[in-house]
Amino acid sequence: MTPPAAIAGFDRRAFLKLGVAGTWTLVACSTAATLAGCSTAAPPASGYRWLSTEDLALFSALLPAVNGPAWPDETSIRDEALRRIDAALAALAPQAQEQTRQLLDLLHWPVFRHLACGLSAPWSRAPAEDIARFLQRWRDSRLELFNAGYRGLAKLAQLGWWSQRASWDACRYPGPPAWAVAALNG
Amino acid sequence: MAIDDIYTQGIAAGWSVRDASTLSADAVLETEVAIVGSGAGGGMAAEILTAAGLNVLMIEEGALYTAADFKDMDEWRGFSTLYQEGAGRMTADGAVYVFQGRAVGGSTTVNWTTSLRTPDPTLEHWAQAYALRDSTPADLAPWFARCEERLGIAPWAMEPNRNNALLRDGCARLGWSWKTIPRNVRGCWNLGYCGLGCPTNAKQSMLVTTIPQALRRGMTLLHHARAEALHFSANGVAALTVRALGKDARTPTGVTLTVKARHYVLAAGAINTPALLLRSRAPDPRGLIGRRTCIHPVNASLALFDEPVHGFHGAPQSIYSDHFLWPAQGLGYKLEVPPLQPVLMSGIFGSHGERLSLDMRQLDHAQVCIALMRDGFDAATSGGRVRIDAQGQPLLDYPLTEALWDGLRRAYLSMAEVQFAAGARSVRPVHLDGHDYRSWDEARRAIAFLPMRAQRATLYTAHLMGGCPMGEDKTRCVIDSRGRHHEIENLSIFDGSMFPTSIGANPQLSIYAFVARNATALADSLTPRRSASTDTAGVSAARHDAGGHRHAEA
Repeated sequence: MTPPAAIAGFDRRAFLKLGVAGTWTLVACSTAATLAGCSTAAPPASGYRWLSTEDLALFSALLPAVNGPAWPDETSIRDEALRRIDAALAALAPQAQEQTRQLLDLLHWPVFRHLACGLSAPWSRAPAEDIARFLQRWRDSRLELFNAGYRGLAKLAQLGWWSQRASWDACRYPGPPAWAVAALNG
Repeated sequence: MAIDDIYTQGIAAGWSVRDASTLSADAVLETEVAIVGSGAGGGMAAEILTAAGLNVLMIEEGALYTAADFKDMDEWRGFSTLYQEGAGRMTADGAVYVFQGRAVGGSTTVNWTTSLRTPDPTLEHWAQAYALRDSTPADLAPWFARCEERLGIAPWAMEPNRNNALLRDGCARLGWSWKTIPRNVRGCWNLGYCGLGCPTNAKQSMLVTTIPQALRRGMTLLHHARAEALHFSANGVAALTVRALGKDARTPTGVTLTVKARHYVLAAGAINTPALLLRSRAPDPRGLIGRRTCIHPVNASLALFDEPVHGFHGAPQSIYSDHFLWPAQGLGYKLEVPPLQPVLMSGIFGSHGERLSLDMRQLDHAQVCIALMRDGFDAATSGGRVRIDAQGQPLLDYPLTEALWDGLRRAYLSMAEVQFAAGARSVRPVHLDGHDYRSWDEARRAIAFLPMRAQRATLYTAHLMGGCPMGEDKTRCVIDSRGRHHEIENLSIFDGSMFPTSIGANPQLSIYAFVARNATALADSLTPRRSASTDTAGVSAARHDAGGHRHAEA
């Protein structure tokens, strides 16, 4: 396994070198770790149906990174975004839930986070630039696995924000025609 | 102005609408015909079978939502309550997003109202390759006409919204053929929120047409109820096990219902119907069930215009072009546009961070074209496969073949060309490697080199077809030309899974017309003494129902 020094010096080249074989080695390691009980499936956080406390930290970090400056970073909006992400995941079919769980467990696993995401700090403390770089790398990767991960995470974070009315100003969306809203709800 | 949600009054007047989440004990339900699913197929069948005097039980796993629930026109509410897997359904490999309804009314509750007849070449192909009988364009013309009248289907008479008009204008400038889309609406307010449930009851979905009519005639609608398995005896289907679902319409409550019927109609859609048959270990000597599932794979192209487009408002689909649907060589595709509300658009932009914030600020200047691949017509695009996982839940495998990628690349080109012809300032293929190209020439050169790979290209489907193909060729077909199962006497399949290939047009009117024809034949065979009156009963009932006034039915 790559020594910590190399991890600290993580760069794009190292990431590319990780390659297909390395990725699957990591996935296999992660699976082994899970089977060995090193990584236990965390229960949903209090008040959530699906997201664990670790997941909440991850998505709290992804919401601003995915949505950019339009994201207001207000507690009430973040909580609502997390609630919606939670509901969206709970609605998925069993296999899709399983795959998402595997992806999130990998992202929580420090070795994978270092090597595949380029993050030395946990999600809750990772600098915004590092998370932005992680997203870009997974988006640009030649590995379908990372592209899929990028799409899945981005989609959930986008849903969490752009489905909220508070986002409408940021996208110049006027909402449903006011006359119709008034007529229907009058 | 409050809109009559139809169901409040109907239920007060005694309609038999039962919410399985409220049941506390197992029960046996007996009926003449059990219909699984309440979408285009189930709804149309229910109206026709009840018109013939048959006792019908309709089983729907989703919830009952009505216009009263739709008046917020809110994307989150719509996606999370009205779609399969909260609109998060995907093919098994995650490469294609699947939009499919899951509520009373099925996908008709959330579709964009496009109502096109099955293209003639498609019907001819089915007759030749699958021995589909009595289904020439002339055979089906009266059934299309009947369904069009029943559901108010007519070419959109208002000016298309700008998102559609730009497709029209681009086609006109290039000399490409285009047409106005017929929509199933009456008194449409031209709002643009068809995909989130129609708040005015203008959309003539099954939710507001055939299902209320069947309820007036005594049908029982059981929602929050998932068809678990069919049980077979020597005589065919002996029973259907149904699991009651909780308030979330997902978690079983533990209550099990046993449905016993003379005849069973499956209309759960082209993913859930094959899955139910597989879960039930239905007779399938040639291993055909769930095979050759076609999805009209869709790619998209995003254009930005100097002038506002406001693609979030107005009838979502009113113009289409079949200019590339039947090419001499290779895969054909149809051009349409989607509605452009924020959640859908945030995915279409395909960006994140600062870029996504900037992209979203241009939402009102965006125009999007989509191309629907006409899959399933040859060996190079023979569709996918529905299978079940260890828990019996459906999975859809859909291989993306070279022929498909070739069609998708040509479609990216066509869409960029038509968008520039319409005056686009820039065009971006909806693909992770797509950029904002400033001219048709630049776009053409770039698209030629786009890597055509899963997860790079953003792909969607809203049309699920096949898996239980219809025709007389038993080596290729699960059901006969009247929708009756080849092996099982008392089982019919009346939904999108009956189609031997994709349709080459948005499916709802094809489902309505084939099901109207096949359900009428079924009614005749189940009610031999009453058959003299059944042929016209559905039509006359339809006319009365148009205004939504008549409650009693003979």
